[in-house]
Amino acid sequence: MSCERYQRLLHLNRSGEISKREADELRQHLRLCEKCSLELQRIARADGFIDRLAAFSPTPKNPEKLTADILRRVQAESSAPKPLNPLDRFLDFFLLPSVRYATVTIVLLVTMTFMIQLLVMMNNISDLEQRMASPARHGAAEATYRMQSKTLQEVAISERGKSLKENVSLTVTNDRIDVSAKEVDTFLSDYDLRNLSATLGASALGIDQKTLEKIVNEVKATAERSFRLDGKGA
Amino acid sequence: MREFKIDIAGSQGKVREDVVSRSQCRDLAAFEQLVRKYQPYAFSLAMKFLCDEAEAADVVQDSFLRVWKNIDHYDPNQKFSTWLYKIVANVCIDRLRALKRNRSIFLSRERDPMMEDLPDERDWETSRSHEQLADIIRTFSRRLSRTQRLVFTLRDLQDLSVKEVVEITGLSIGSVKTNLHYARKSIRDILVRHYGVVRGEL
Repeated sequence: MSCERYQRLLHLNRSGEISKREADELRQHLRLCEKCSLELQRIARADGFIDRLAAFSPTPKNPEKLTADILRRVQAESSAPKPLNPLDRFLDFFLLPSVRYATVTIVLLVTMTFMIQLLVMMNNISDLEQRMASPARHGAAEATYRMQSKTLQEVAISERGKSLKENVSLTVTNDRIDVSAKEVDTFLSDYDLRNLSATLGASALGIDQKTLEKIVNEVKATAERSFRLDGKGA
Repeated sequence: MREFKIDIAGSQGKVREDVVSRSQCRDLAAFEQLVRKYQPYAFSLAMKFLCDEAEAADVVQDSFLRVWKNIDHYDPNQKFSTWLYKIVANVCIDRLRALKRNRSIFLSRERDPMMEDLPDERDWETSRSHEQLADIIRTFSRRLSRTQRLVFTLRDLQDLSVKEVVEITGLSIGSVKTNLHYARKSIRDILVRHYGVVRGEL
């Protein structure tokens, strides 16, 4: 093995720095190598000086003053306001009067806007609910046709086939049926009398079954006819 | 009959721990005790590293201020002195960087010791002043890198174990040994060249 490695071990030959195996190898080598033995003597010579430096423990000229200086700085540090963390600094920003008033104003404005919007929306909803409950009374007439039994034909003809595709509504009362065009369309395709009377309940209408059948037959016949007249169903 | 034993060593150890834990509770009186006990260690390391008494005193002040600020982070499983040395070493390195930047001590000093200024061998035996000691160490340290200087000071001048040096510097054990090897080789070369080997051995 080269002397270079042993030279390194020589310089590290203090407790805990090289392993026992390395120390043994070094001892073996030193017995044979004059150059490394000489280096060991040089090291021992130099270490005499280093040990004297190590033994020297410098102390401050005035340790009491140093202690007092440290404690004064520590006390100043303890009584000084601590540097704020970013969150605290952000929150402290709101303690400025101008910022506080501005914030309160903005919050109030936003809340008021929100409340107004909410009121408008609720009003709209209630309006819509009312319309849905009785569409004929609330301007949904456009899509809804009030057909008394004797004028069904008239209405169906006048509205023609295009109207049959539109809105949804069916209300049956004592003396009339309010039908939307789509409902008429449904009459034409699906409904039979039993179905209708089962769905609506003839008794709930305040008319007897026969009258209902008559009315519905009339609706069906006239609508069918008008549909045919329109040319679509033919 | 029951025996009452007082464990003096144990109670003393407890008191020492207590000073640290009381300091952690921001007890200034306890912290004063802590400073009085550990100030000499901190000063010795700073002085041997920076070789300037005023700078060393400043470093000790800054270090204890850091100790106070960060004492909550001190892990009681670690030796307090090791933790303190770590702080002192960091403050020293920072100070050395600043000093080199400002060129105040090491470059434009009135009297920068040269190898020729090393004291006569007979003078080593007599007690030496801080300044003389500082001059000798500064003479060696000029040849070392910052890390070599720190590792050499901790291990050979403060006589700390390799394990402690590893903890304080944060270097690997291999790196500590390599730095130690180069530092010692360089310093031993200077000393032997200046004072020569023992008579009759060459």
